[in-house]
Amino acid sequence: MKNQWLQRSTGHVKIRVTEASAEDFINDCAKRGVVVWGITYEEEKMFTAHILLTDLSKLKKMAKHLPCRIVFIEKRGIPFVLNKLSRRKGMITGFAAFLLFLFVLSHMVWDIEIEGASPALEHDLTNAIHEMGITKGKLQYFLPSPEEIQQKLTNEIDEITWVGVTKQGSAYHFQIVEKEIVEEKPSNISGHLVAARKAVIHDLFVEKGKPMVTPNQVVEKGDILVSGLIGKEDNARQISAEGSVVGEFWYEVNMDVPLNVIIETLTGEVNRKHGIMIGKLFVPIWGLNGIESEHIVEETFTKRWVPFGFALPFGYRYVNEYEMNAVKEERMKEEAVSIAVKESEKRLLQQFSSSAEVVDEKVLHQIVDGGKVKVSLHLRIIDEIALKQPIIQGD
Amino acid sequence: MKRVQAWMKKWMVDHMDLPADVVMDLPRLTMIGQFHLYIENHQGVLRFTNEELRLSLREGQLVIKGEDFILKTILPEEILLEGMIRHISYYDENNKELK
Repeated sequence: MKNQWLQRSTGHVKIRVTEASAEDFINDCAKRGVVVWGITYEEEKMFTAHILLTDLSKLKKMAKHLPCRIVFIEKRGIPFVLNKLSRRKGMITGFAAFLLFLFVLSHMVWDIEIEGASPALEHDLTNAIHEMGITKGKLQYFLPSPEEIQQKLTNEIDEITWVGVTKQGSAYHFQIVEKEIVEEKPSNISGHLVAARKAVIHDLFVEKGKPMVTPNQVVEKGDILVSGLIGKEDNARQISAEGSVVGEFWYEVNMDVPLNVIIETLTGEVNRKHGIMIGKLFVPIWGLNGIESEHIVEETFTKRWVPFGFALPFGYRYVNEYEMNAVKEERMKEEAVSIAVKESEKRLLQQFSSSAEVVDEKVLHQIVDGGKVKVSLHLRIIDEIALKQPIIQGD
Repeated sequence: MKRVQAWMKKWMVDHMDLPADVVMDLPRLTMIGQFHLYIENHQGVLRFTNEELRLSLREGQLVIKGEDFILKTILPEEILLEGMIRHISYYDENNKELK
């Protein structure tokens, strides 16, 4: 059976036929190719039927031929609906106008919000936005895209580091990050450069001020390296001494390095145990037969279920078990000493600036004692030693 | 001759596994509960009231009796009848019910 829904929606009528029997009508319809359906018998020589609108002319011929009387009862389908609507022109135009207004108004700019700008900048920004044509009541079609606006604004206004333009429906939203113009601190507080620690001057570079030391000179902590007082005695001026002074100093370090070490490595064998936490009790569910090994490292992850801020005494936990391999390593004495040197250098340099470096190291003595090597080291380090000190005005 | 033809057709249906309604030009009735009845391969409507539908066949008539009949769809060789179907019977050319 074909679905005739589409055919019928194009318009059909319900008719009441009298003065002819249903079977004659049906057979006549079949002969003339009239589509007929929904035939209901009412009484002898009286019945209702449905007929397509397009078959009406054929129906008229049939009415004469049979003969029979036909009364239209119902009119259905799109043609009739349209016909009805065309009689209500005012309503239709109103509805169309409403749709049009809704469409147009929803594509207008109704709000411009600026966030994160100081009042002065906000004023500038508002002007810039207006110049671009973004004002209340403008249609969005004729405006540049948010990306373009963003680019233009960042180029035009210097005080902005970043501007985020988003369009939310009929509102434009500007989020602004203002540039913080950091004024350079005047470093003209007059002062000397003094030594931060006892050292031997290694190198000296003076930008401003009068050098008071020469390379290879030993200085104590607090000695003036570069003076901020220049000029002759009668017209001396105070300036801020600037420069870099690299000094050399020594450290003695004692270090113990064991000769035998146990290095632990993971073999890559993993087992994951899943389970449920009830209170503090762990009930394993999956992955029970773990790794057959004596050395195992465990890693535990627990998830508690906290619905709406109430902690329930239940949770999910999984435990990762890693198999571990322990290897005993024996070190030679020389090896242990080199490890001691490297390690002590590393530790020592952490105390100084990033430009510090070890120039020379010397092993003073080394003793093997109780499976350990005791190493005594002498390290020479160079680092910046200049420190700024303001000139205290005397009378 | 007609008898031979009829016999041949019957033989074909019995032995060649062909559908009877196609070979022998018989109506095919599909019934859904008591409410819907599709009738294919009929030869025209002889009588339709709300309690009876009488269809002509190649040989004889098909009579359906019941209540509240509505002819939902009528296509050249297909009819969908809706209503409470009580009774379906075949009649021969002499309007005698076949048993």
